[in-house]
Order: sequence, then C-alpha cells, then structure tokens
Amino acid sequence: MTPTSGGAAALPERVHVLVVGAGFGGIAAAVRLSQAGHDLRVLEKADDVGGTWRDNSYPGAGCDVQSHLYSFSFAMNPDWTRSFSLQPEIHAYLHDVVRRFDVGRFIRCGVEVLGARWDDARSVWAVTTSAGDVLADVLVNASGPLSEPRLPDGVTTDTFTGTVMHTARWDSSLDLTGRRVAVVGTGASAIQLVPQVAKVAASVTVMQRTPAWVIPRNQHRIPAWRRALYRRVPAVQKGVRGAIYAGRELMVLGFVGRPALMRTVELLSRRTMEKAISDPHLRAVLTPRYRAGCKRILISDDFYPALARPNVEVVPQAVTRLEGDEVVGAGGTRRTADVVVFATGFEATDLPVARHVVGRAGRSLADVWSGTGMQALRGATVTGFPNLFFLIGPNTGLGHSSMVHVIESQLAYLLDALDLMRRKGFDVMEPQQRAQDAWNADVQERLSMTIWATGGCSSWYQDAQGRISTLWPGTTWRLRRQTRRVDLGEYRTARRADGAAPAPAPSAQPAAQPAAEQAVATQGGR
Amino acid sequence: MRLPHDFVPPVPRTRTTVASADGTRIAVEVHGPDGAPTVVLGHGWTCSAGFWGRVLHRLGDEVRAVVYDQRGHGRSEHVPRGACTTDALVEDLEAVLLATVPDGERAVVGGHSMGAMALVALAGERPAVLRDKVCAALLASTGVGRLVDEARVVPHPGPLRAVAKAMTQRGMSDARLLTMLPRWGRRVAVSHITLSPAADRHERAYCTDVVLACPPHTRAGFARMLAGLDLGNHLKALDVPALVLCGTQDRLTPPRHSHRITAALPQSLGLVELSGIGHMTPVQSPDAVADAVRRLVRDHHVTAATVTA
Repeated sequence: MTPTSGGAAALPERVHVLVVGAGFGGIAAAVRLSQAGHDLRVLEKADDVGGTWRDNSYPGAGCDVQSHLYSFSFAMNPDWTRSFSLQPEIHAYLHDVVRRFDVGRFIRCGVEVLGARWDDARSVWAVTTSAGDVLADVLVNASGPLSEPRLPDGVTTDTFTGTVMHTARWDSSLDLTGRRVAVVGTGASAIQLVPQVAKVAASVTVMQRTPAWVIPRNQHRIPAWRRALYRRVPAVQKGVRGAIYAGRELMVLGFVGRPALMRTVELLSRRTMEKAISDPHLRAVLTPRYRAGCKRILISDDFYPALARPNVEVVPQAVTRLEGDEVVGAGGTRRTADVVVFATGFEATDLPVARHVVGRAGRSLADVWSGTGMQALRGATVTGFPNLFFLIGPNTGLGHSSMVHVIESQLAYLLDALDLMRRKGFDVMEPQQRAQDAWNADVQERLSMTIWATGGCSSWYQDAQGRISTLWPGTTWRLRRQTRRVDLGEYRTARRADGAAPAPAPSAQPAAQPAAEQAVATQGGR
Repeated sequence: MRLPHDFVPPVPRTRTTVASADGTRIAVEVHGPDGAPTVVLGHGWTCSAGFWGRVLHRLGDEVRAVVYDQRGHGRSEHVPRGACTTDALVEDLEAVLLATVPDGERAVVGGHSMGAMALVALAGERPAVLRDKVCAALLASTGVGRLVDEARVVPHPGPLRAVAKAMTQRGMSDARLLTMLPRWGRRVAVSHITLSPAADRHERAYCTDVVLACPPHTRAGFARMLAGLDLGNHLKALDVPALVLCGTQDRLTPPRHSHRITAALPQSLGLVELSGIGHMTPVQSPDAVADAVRRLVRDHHVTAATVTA
C-alpha cells in the first residue's frame, strides 16, 4: 500500500491557492478549499502527508488531547481505539481523511518550498520549489510551528562516538535493547518516550533542565461496543466531543483568568508523584518551582513510574556537550551513553518558513519579525505580505485544547477571505498596520495577566525577547468568533495592477454550495 | 511541602555500580573533583545515599566524596531478608573501598548508625582492607551491641521494661506496622524515633519520607540483624584515628553507646556530643558532621603522594 492515496499531484505553472505543508492544516485546507471550489495545490516537502504525526514516530508518541476532540469536525472517526490516540493511529486517520475526501490529487509530496516572493507588479506570489517555479494568487502557510526540530544552544556533539537522534527524526531501525540511552529534555516528547525506552534499555539517563508538572492521562481503551455506537449514532460521539471540548474550555479559567486555580493542578501532580515515587530526593528534583501551566502541563500515566525504575536516573542539569561516550552536564556531571536522544522540541518562535517568505517591501518575514517578534492580524495575515495566510499563525497556540479546532477556525477565516475576493472582485488583500497593531496590543495585554507570563518560568511559548508570540490568551470559542468573518475594514484591498488574467477557473471540483459548506466549517468542532 | 534547597542532594559527578562478593550490585555515587581527598560515607538503616545530601552540600568541592546505597536500600540491588547480615555489609563496604579509593590513597571513611557498624565490622574481619584503604574513621550516631536493650524509643518505667523492649523490637522489625499508619502518624512515629524535639518541620518530613522510601522487607531484614548485633570485640581492631559523634537526644542509639565506643577505640580522637540532637545527625547537624569530616581529612588523610614520599 502506498502511504497516501495521492500525493503526486501535478505542479501547474500557476495556481490560485498554494498551501505549504500537508499536516493537519494542509489536509484540512485541501478538503475545505476544494469543497468550496477553489483551485489549489498543497506542497509537502516530505514523502508522505501527516506533518507532526508523520515526523514524531518515536516509541510512545501520542496526543495530549482526547481523540474525539483531536480530529476534524467534518471527519469524525468513530473507530478511535484509545481515549488518547498514539501516533500511528492519528497518522492513519490523516491518510484516511485524504482518501475519504479524495484530496490526494491536490497534494504533491516530495516538493519543498525554497522561497516565496511577492511580485507586486503582477500581484502574485512567485514561489520557488524543489520541483520548479509556481505562481500563486494566495499563499497559505500550513507548515506548522512544531515542525523544525530544535537542539539546545551550544551543545557540541561532534566528538561523540555514539548515536544522536531527535525525537522528531526517529530512526525506527535503531534497537535500544540493552543500550545505555540518554534522553535530553523532560517535555511532552520525553515523557512519552522515556517509559518506552526504560522497558528495554540497560540504563536511561534523563537530562532535565526544568521539571514539568505532570498529571495523570487516564488512558483507556475504547471498547468495541462504544465504537459501534459511535458508528451507528454519530450524535453520541458528537456529544462526547462536546463534553470534552467544554471541559477543556473551562481550563482557560486557570490559565488566563485566575492563575491561582493552578494550585489544584499542582496538588494533583504532587499526589501522582508521591504514589509512583517513594524516594524523596527524586521527588524533590522533579518538583517544579514555577506555577503549574506556565510551561506546558504534561499528562502521563507511566512517566513517574518509569523514573522510579532502578535503571533510570534523572540528572537535573542542562547538557553542555557530548564527548567520547559521555554526556556532560552543566555541573560537570558525566554519564556514559551509547545513544543520545534529544527530546528538545521545535523552533516554535523562530519559524524557518519566515526566512523564505519575502513580502511587498522586499523584506523577509523573519526580517520583519526580528524586531517585533511574530505578529499577525487575527493570527492569519501580516502587513506587508499580501495574500499570505497562516494556519496556526502567531498567537493561535493553545495550552488547554485541540489545535485542530484552531486550524478549523483559521480555515473559516481563509475561506471567507477567498469568498470575498471572488464575490467582491478584488485580487489582493493586506492587513492594515493599525489593525494588526491593535490586534496585537489587545492580545499582548490579555497575555500579560496569564499564567504563561506570571507563572515564573521561561518556556517555548516565549521568543528570545521573552514575548509570548505563540499562545492564544482565551477560549478557542473566542478565537473562533473573532475569525469567523473577515472584516474588510481591517484590510487594504486591490484589483490586480496589470489586469493579468486571474487564476484559471476551478477545474477539479464544481463549486458546490460553498456557502452551506462554510457554515458547517464555522460551526463544527464542538 | 517544599524542602529547603540543601535537602536535595547535589548531583553526583559520576555514578557506578560495584558488585559485592555475593554479586549484589551496589549503587555508588562520586561527588567532588578527582584528585581531592577521598571520603567514603555509609548511610544507616532505612536511609539512602541521598541522606548525606546536606553534608555533601557543605563539603562542596573540598573532598571527593563517595556515597553508596547499602544493599536493599536506594538504587542498590534488593536482597532477600536472609542476605541482610553484618557480613554482607562488610563485603559491600569492602567492594566500594576497593573500587573507589585510588591505589596508594587511604580514605576517610565515615558511617552513620548501621553504616558505622559496617566499618567497625570491616575492621575486625578485613584488617588488610582497613590498613590499605582507610586512614581515619568517623563513627556517627552508632552502637556496637545491645541496641534493643538500650534504645529509648518506648518509655519504660521500671517494671514495664520487658514490654518496652518487646515493643521496640516488634516496631523495628514489623514490615507493615509503619506503612499502616496514616501520613501524620508516620511522621509522628519516625520523628519520635529518629529525631529530637528540636527538629524542624522540614527535617521531620524529610526523615519520614526517607524511612518510608526503604522497602519494608529491607527494613525488616536489617532490623533482625541489628537486634542481634554484637561487635564489641571488633572495636580494638579499628586501629586508625577515629572520631565519634552523637546527639544527646538520640533515642535509637543513646549517647552511652558512643561513650563506650570512644573508650574502647585504640586511637580515639574523642567524642563530639551534639546537644539536643537526635539520631539523624547528618540531617539535624550537617554542619557538625561536615566539620568532623573536614577535621579528619585535614589531620589524617593520606594521599598517594604522601605514601610514596
């Protein structure tokens, strides 16, 4: 079986909408945009769709949001086998969505976007790819904030004699049985990986810079009768999804409204730790010194028990270098290792794609953002970069709920923009600076009172200047409301300057009831 | 409750595992820089290497401190009750000394409670190891026999002496008794037995957690060993400069043990009595214990260089 049911779409010279990345965002865009009758292509640099859920194939990889919620509102899956899905099942789900909605024909895998420059004269994005040049009226970045692996700064690995890996570039041919493994990091990836490795490895050294608050996942299998029920009566699953959604939205109270509520999370975490770990020394090392929620709250049923195993050691130090067969910690500690796994996350605030996108004034997005941090209007569009849309753009990340919900909100915004272009007959739209500034001022003001700003930690939510450029300070419902419709008052719109022919009319799919489809998209997900 | 910073032991620079004579794997931590004088510390019954944390923080980089988990404790291999013997403790200490004290160097070896008993027993049974690897000894809060008889854990007004003794023995060796208590009850019990009333809430909470972290069957196994301990004859074999240290409020090994030991040692450096302190001297008086170690290192440590000179 080929990994995807498509993925080899032809690359035309010109396309109306070009989407970069075929993860959750790109696939959803392909489905919704094709349903709305837009001409589109999705470019994926890897050989397969799936994005995060293709890359993160390390043992134990899974999602921190319940399966029923972590899926598209327009493609519910009654067959989830666990309350929290593991990576293979989510990856398979994405393949299934591609097949079910027959969007493989819009997706081209193995093509990397090397650069994109706004051609102001022709009012198009001139996109350079590894398979040639493409012109696009609208460019959609769906490459995601968690796609480019990050390694800790200044760690030298060149004299290390063992194997070095990042969790998001897992080599499944590597057998860890009987090996001495060092895992760098105690974040979301590490706590899923460590219990799996500890089962087989001779020793596991966990290098910990800052501990996390960890609460139970309560993972359970979904029995066959429930799955059958969801299949026959989809409303039941919708109800479960709604309940999960509502419960998670309540957590915003703690993150955003009253950080003191997070003490209850800390209490739960301490109890969980006490049950699993009897050694008070280890417990002290694992107890964070910041308010829960400031860094991502992690969920796991097996992390603490794994750390209590005699073959696992937590070294509460940052890694400085790998040398010979040793991992050297910041305090000069040395631990031998055959394999070092960096579970150190992603470049969330320094998006590589930003370096490749050059806007109206000839400046790259990275250049524009280098002074201000990542900024966009409604997490979607950026002044100076006409017709560029983000899925999971600046300040749309969540600490509490499903990013799939955010993606669908942002897709609704994109669809509305494309629909307005079509109906009102303009070709170019660019947010006005004052609208973007006002939006960001409001977001930053609301962020300033949240746990992420006041909790007493540094986290990947913050950029190098300490500005939180990744998170949405509110409910997902609020984000959805604020991205339901494009307010043209916030934009400058224009017709194509040289009167060049617009993109070819949609050929792949008839424009079947776009309005009705859109309504579903904006209401779904609850 | 968050413990003060120095209760969290420093991160060992390296960790190794040493195989004892019967194959039991003993977890060893090395702190401090290579080249500094080696100090080997053995913890007591129901504790673990991390128990020396407050002392290690004070010693810093002055010494190369080797601390290890006694068998059945901490990260060392768990053993059946029958393997919890004085001989086994001697073999474990021997293996640690041979593996961690560099050739030519003789280390300051300290023990707290059962850790000190292991050192006394080693002196009697492995004189060559004592001669080659040990330059001076620290015997903290310990005894060499009559432990149950002389413990003051249960108050014993005259005629009820036998009852008190039975209760002490039962309480020490019953694996379930402590764990059956509620959280506050454990803290009260452990604090009463191991600490003096002067102990603060952190010391109480910490010692309770440390004792509870010890696997019940290990606790029971060594309780039996302790009840039958008689090392009186070995004291004269501990023929190195030795410092004795104890708390005046020690209920488990009351000061009279230390007085007797000090009198019987061939090269006694005297007794450090810590007023108002209980059994857990490395926790309740880390400064005094660190000072005692420093004094032994300063006055008696033998490096490879001094030996060859």
